[in-house]
Parts: sequence; structure tokens; C-alpha cells
Amino acid sequence: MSDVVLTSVADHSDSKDQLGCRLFAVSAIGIACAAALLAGWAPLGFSIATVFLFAGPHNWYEIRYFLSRMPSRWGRRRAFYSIAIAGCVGLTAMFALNSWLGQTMHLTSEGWESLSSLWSSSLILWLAVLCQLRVGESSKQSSNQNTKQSTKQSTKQSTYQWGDWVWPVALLGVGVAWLLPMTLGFGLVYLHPLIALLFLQRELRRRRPSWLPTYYCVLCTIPILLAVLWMRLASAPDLPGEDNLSLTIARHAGSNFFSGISSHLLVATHVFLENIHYGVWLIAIPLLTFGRVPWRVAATPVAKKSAVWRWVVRGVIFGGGAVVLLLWVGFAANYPMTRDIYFTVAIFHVLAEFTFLIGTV
Amino acid sequence: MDGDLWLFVLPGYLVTIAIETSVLLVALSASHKIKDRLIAGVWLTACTYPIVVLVMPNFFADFNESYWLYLLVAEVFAPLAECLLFTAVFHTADTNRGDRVRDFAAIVGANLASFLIGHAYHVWIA
Repeated sequence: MSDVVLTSVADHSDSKDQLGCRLFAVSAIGIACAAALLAGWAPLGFSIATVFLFAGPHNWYEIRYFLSRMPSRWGRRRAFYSIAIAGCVGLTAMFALNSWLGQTMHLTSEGWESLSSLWSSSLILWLAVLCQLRVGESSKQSSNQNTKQSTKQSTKQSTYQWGDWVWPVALLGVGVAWLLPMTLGFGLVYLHPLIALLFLQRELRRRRPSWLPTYYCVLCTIPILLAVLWMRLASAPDLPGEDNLSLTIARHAGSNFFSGISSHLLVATHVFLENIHYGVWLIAIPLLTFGRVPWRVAATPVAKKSAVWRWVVRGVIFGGGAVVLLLWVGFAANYPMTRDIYFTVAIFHVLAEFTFLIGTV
Repeated sequence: MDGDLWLFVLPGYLVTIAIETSVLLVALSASHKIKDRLIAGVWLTACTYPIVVLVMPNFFADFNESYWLYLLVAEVFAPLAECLLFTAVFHTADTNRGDRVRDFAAIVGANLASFLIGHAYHVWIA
């Protein structure tokens, strides 16, 4: 009798899981299709509305998520997290300074390109250092195991590790950053929204591993929708509007850089990808972590360290909430200027995403 | 310059690797395995070549006029950087001074060989 009860409970649980998986797939595909439709049909209006509504909240949720993933004691990761935070702050400051210099000193295109290459080089080298630190952790673990197991050491030892290839790849990237200035910058604009999909994959692996095959199928809709957008808009004329806001939105999508490509296509692509990013951070990941109220910080590892840290974390969470409200006020008061400031400062969250992507492999 | 650069970069990269690896294979100290010598030949050039060929020219206002200055800077930077990289990856605390000196000499020799062959090609053939 108890076996029958256990089996029926297990069956009920499986069917609930399958229902949840199907709902997830249908919702994700539905949202992606709606985003593609709106991005293609009214890219400017859709961009204005979604950045207004979702830019601040998604950054706030990312901070909350990263706080929950940050270990309470850095231990052997002290160097990693110290360099990561210094890099995020330093590169953001450098990015903002470049933007200010370019505008106040009326730099030539060569000047802009040099600043862009310098920033891209710094970003690549910073990422290489983070990767090397992570690879170094794994190497130390495996060499400690080998030392315990081996009894006789050879006189000729290879000290070379596969992770040392980080440097040639990084330095080649630096070379490309100078050969093709601004390429990395616009590469980030279009590829960074997809980083959220990696975080979603990790959360599914932790909490709903049985959903992963369905998730990979859902991911296939993104290139299909992009292909549809490109086919429909490849020969579309540039977006109308010579006002500051329309030109800024087109510039953010690379209309000055990708000459010969319709700004309608570029803005639509950018807006579509940004909304995939917002959808993951504001819908998918929060629903997966449902049951954990985001503003309750007691369970966060960093908050468990001490009462002082609990207050620090609360300050970050609630302070971040205040910044979101301020952002909405700024958008309402002067949308173009606030958008410009936001996209300059928002590079910080892109860098933080890289940090946690590398740090949580 | 960018158009010419594309034609030059990959063949130059492969030829430089071939020349420098050949020298390192023979000249590095006996404490390094054959596999490590081959890897070093590829790895060191892979690190410094993009900087020398793609980054450094941007810092010379008139590249054609300051070609010799560029060569001087590049040919000092490349072996110096490669010696530092080689020490970081291939030397250990147990590596003796004699081996280190021989390795550094091998790296400088490899760079000199690739420079001389490249320059000869540029002057007499290209």
C-alpha cells in the first residue's frame, strides 16, 4: 500500500514538473515572438518603452542575484574578486571618461578609435587575468591531488598548463581591437544580452535539470527570429526622425559604425536582444527562484557574515531600489539625457556579468 | 595600411612561428621536453606577434618615416616580453641560473633570426 502511495506521489510530481516545463517553453517562445514582432514593427517606440520600464529593475535584480552568488568568505578567491571589482569600477570609469572626453574635446574619428581600442584592450586583459586566476585554482587543485598520488618525480617536468593559452588568445584580441577599433564595443552591445541565457542555463541546471533539453530547443527560436527580422528588414529604409532621441537610439545600435545596413534593422535587432535579456532577468530567473523574496537578504551568504554586512547588503538592495526610482524620474523628466547617462554607466553591469560568469564556472 | 596588413598578418605569423620554433627546438636548455619547446615556439610568438604587428604601428605618427624606430622598439619589446613570459610559464624555482641564461639567449636568438630573415625578404625579395 505504501509503495502505491509513494509511486502515485512520484507520478504526480513528475507530471507537475512536465506541466511546468511545457508552460516555461510556451511562455518563453511566446515572449520571444512578441519581442521580435514589436521590435521589427516599432523599434523606436518599443526601445523607448522597454528601456524606460525594464532597464533599472533588471539591473536591480542582477545585483540581488550576484549578491546571492557571492561567497561570504572569499578565501583563495580573494585575488579574483578584488581584481574583478577593481576592474568593474576602473573600466566603467574609463568608459565614462572616454565618453566625456570625446564629447567635450570634439575628438576626430581617429581619436575615438584610439580611445575605444585602449578601452577594449584593457577589458580583454582584465578578462584574461580573471580567467588565468580561475584556471590557476583548478590547476592547484589537480596538482595537489597528483602530488599526493605520485611517488617519484621526473627530472623533466612540464610546467605548461592548457590555461596558459588564455594569453595568446587575449593578446590576439588586443591586436584585433587595434586593427578594428570599436568592433569589440559593438560586439558587446549585441552579444551581452545573450549572457543572460548562460545564467538561466546554470539556474536550470541547479533547480530544474530535467528542463534543460526543452530549454535548448527554446533557444533555437532566437536565431530563427533573428533570421526572420533580418530577411524582413534587410532592405528597409533607415528609421525616420532627425530628433536627438531617434539619432541616439540608432547610434547606440551602431548605425554610424555599420554603414550600409539599415538603422531599422540594427535598432530592431538590438531591441529584440535587449528584451530577451530583460525577459530572462525579470521573468525567468525570478520565477525559477520563486519562494525567495528578493528583498529579504538574511539568507544571502554575504549577509550571514555579521550584522554589519547585513546592513551593507540591505543598503545595496534598498539603495539600488532608490536608484531605480530615480532612473524612472530621470526618464520621465528628460528621456534622451537619462538614456545617454544610463547606457554609459550600465557598462558596469555588463562587466559584473562577466565576473560572475567566469567566477561561477 | 589595413588592406596590406591583412595580407601580411597570417603568412607572417606562420613564418615567424616556423623560424622561432626551429631555433628554440635546438637552443633551449636540456631541462625542457621536446613537446614544451614546440609549444613555446608557438605560444611565445602567439603572444607577442599581435602586439608587434597590429598594436605598435598605431603609436607611430608617420609609420613609413619612423619605420626604423618602430623596428627598434618592436625588436626590443618582443624578446624582452617573451623572456618574461617564458620564465612565468616554463621556469620553476628549481630551474638553475645556467639554464635560465641559455633559455633567454635562445629566445633572443630566435627573435633575431626571424627579424633578419624577415628583413632580408623585405629588402631583396618583396
